Amino acid sequence: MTPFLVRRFASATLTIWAVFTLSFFIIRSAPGGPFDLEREPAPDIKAAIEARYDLDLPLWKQYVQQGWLWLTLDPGPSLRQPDHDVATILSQGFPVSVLLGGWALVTGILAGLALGILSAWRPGSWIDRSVVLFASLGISLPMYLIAGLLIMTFSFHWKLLPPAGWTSLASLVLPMTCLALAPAAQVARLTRSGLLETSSEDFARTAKAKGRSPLSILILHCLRPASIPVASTLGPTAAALLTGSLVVEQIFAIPGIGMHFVQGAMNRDYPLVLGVVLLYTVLLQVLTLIGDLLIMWLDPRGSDMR
Amino acid sequence: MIASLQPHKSRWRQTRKTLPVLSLAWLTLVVLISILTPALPLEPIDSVDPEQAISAPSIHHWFGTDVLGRDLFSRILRGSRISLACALAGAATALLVGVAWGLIAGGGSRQRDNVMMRFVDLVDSIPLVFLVILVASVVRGSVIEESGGGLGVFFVILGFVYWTPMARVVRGETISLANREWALAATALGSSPQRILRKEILPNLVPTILVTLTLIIPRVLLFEAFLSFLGLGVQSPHVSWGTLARDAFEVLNPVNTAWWLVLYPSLVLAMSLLALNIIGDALRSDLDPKDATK
Repeated sequence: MTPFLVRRFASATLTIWAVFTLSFFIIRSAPGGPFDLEREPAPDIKAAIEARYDLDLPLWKQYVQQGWLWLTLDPGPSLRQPDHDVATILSQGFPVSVLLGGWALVTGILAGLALGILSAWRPGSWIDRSVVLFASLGISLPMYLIAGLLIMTFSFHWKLLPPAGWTSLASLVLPMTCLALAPAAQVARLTRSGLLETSSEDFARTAKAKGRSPLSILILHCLRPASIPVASTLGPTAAALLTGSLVVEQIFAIPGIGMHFVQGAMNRDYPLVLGVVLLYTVLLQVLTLIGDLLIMWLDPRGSDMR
Repeated sequence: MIASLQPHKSRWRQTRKTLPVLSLAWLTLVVLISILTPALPLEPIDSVDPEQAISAPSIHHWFGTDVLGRDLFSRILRGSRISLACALAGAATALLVGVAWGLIAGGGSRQRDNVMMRFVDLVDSIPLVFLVILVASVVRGSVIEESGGGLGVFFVILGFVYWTPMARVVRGETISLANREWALAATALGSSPQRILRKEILPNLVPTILVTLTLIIPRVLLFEAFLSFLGLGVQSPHVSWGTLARDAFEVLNPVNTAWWLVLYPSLVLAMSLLALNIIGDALRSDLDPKDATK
């Protein structure tokens, strides 16, 4: 176990460093800078501002400097919101994003498992076919269509839920539903085909011969091996969720870190953008690790820990 | 299988046969329309009619008009041209990079395979989408865009997100094919490894590559819409299905809900994605006899 964790930690560190380097140089190669205004300031003023933020140093020196700042977890001030620390901005937005994304991930996976079980319980029935339809729709509908339809029905037409903002529990419902739909569809698909496959194995037949009911065979005997593919796609599913949260945060005006990312990328707020990318990278590494640990628990045979 | 499939089998089989055909028909229609767009009697791209702004679907404007009074139907047709071009170009990039990478990794030494697949693992553990957004924001407003190459660069960027699944699949299949009798026979006859890869293995990879492509194309299509929706993709005056949705959400309000602006562009995209997914599923279950969902 320990060598596995050490190796995973090393590769995660390598990944995070690679992401940092790539994003640093990509965003620095962008034309224009954070201090481009409508009215061009006098050259000496601009130079003074840039010197204030060390933007006049050679690029490699800035790279080393930024790297060190991030290692000490003190990335300094935002370039476009000078009164705010990048660390403060991120620590305000991060809980919001995690709350939204976390709920969506958990709801999506649970709903997907339930749908998958229902569908494999009665293959070929109308339940099964509706689940299959839902699974294809869930991965085909663009998120903003779902968001638009939900807003127009539940907020504008029936006036049940707020269309935007981050004030009450009710304002969480619509964005969470939008985000949870795709993982639910994906998990339902995987669970269904996994269950159908494992339910024809010998141990399932033995359980049937013992007189177990079909549903309890599915849940008690087949679900564990069948949910391995679900666990192994936890990383990609989470990545897709993070991507989707950019759109959802924009549509529903949610003050998470996704908004800062798009804004920061557009107006060249270098440290803020780097911060969001790094945060997402770390999050993704953690979720992938959780997925791998889950697989080892679900299928102890494969615990050679790669 | 636990419950019996019998009662519904025949009708279900029938649906499973007609759906891919319908999907293919829809895609053919969309492709034909996007090829023919310049020849169709559409409203000119720069025509603005403020008196007709945000009017609901009618005989004159089948899908209604947008905030500047432009005909939404014409704009969707125009958008389909760019959206499809993006998807095809992106998928082509993913195809080239992925197939080459997988073939070289799977057809070489164990050591080379290890290094190349470790790299794929690394790329997969990066939130690549965010790096692509960064690159897209670099291209925006740069010399490349001013010289008119913005869209071209955008196409290529799209492909770089989704080449890893192709590389993985091709590499796995290459390794398994290289150990078949006919590949060994070619070695015995004195063919060089490169020749075997090119002449024996590559042609046999085609079905696998096709199936993977049907998975990649919808994802690229969706990703184009996603980037354009955030304002980082296709830029005005060009339109794509994603930019149309972006425009719709800018004027979305509870007093005067322009539902047609939200619904139609997204629906066309959704139907195309669904069609691609259905065809992909059909291809997969035809080519893979072990598929449990068959």
